[in-house]
Amino acid sequence: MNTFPGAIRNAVLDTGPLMSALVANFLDRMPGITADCSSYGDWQFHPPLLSRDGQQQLLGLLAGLRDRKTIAHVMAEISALLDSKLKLRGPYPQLFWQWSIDLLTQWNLDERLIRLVAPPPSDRSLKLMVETGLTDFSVTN
Amino acid sequence: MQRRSTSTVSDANVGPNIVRAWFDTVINPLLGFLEQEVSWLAQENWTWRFKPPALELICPVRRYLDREAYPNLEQFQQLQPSFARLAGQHDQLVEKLTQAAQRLHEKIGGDPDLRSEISVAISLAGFKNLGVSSVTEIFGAYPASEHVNLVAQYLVNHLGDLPAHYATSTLWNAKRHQFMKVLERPGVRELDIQAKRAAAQLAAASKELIELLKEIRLTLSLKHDVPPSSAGSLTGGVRIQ
Repeated sequence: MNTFPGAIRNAVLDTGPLMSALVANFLDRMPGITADCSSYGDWQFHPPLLSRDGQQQLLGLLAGLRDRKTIAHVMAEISALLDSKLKLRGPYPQLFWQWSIDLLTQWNLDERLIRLVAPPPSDRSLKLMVETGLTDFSVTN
Repeated sequence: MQRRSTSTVSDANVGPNIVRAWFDTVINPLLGFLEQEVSWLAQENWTWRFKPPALELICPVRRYLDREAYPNLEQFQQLQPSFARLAGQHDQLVEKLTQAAQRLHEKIGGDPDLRSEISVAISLAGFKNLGVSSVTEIFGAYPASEHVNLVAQYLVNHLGDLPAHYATSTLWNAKRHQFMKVLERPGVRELDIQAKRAAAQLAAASKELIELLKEIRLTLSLKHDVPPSSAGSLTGGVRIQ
């Protein structure tokens, strides 16, 4: 199932890739969509996800990971993006979540609480923390 | 098929603004969804989901629409009794198919042979055939109590191969032809046929509703000089760019 065997095994999924994967999964399950969908509502995929093939490769890559984790604020950001970008109507907001929950259950995605790190042990860490922000720094350390 | 009169719409009270609103919020979205519905039914995929139990993509008419459109739907139903009658009939048949799918799912889920086949497939011996090392690689975070129900759901929907990014595709794509034999067993077969009959009735009702909606749309469009579709209008409740 891993499209890139031997490459990435474990990943902490941030909002961009996870949202892209959930939208790709949604489009995959939506009836009547057969052509490439580079955008949906106000949601715009970024290269190389502009084509259906690219979106399928992202899903394949994430499905092939041994261990996937995310954190609560990512799911909160995805909820906000769903409202502001996808602008789903009728029964589709509910379906988006049903299909997303099914996919995330299949992927055994674990949501973790993070421990905000103690003061960075080095100047290099401190610089990285400033560049990436406290949340992402804490997740990756 | 007998032609229905659409003259029940009062000329005195209905103008182009109301017609535009009906087209954009009721008629056009409904046509999109009903055509999808007919397509699912033709594929014998009832879009059944066991948790919570429902048909995912086959709904009563009202549920296809945005909440903001409900007043327009109610007005349309009041002024178009032929639509109200057919929509009511459609919704009853959706309920009939839902119940038929649920009975079939319960029967399959309780089938001891299927349970046994799945148990073997996800045993240590089965892992080797499937190329996995743990049950989590097949069912992800679905608890053991739901494994059979998930496979039963796929059987109720007569699913073909699943996309590879679904963990369950490892099991389903390899074993689905074997699992499908459950649908031929006495007791299960009858319920599968009942569901197919309910689906055929629903498909006929949906097609009749589509025809009526198109007829009404044409009549109103010509009478009030309102195009059936406005730029940027919604099709099937979805805006695709």
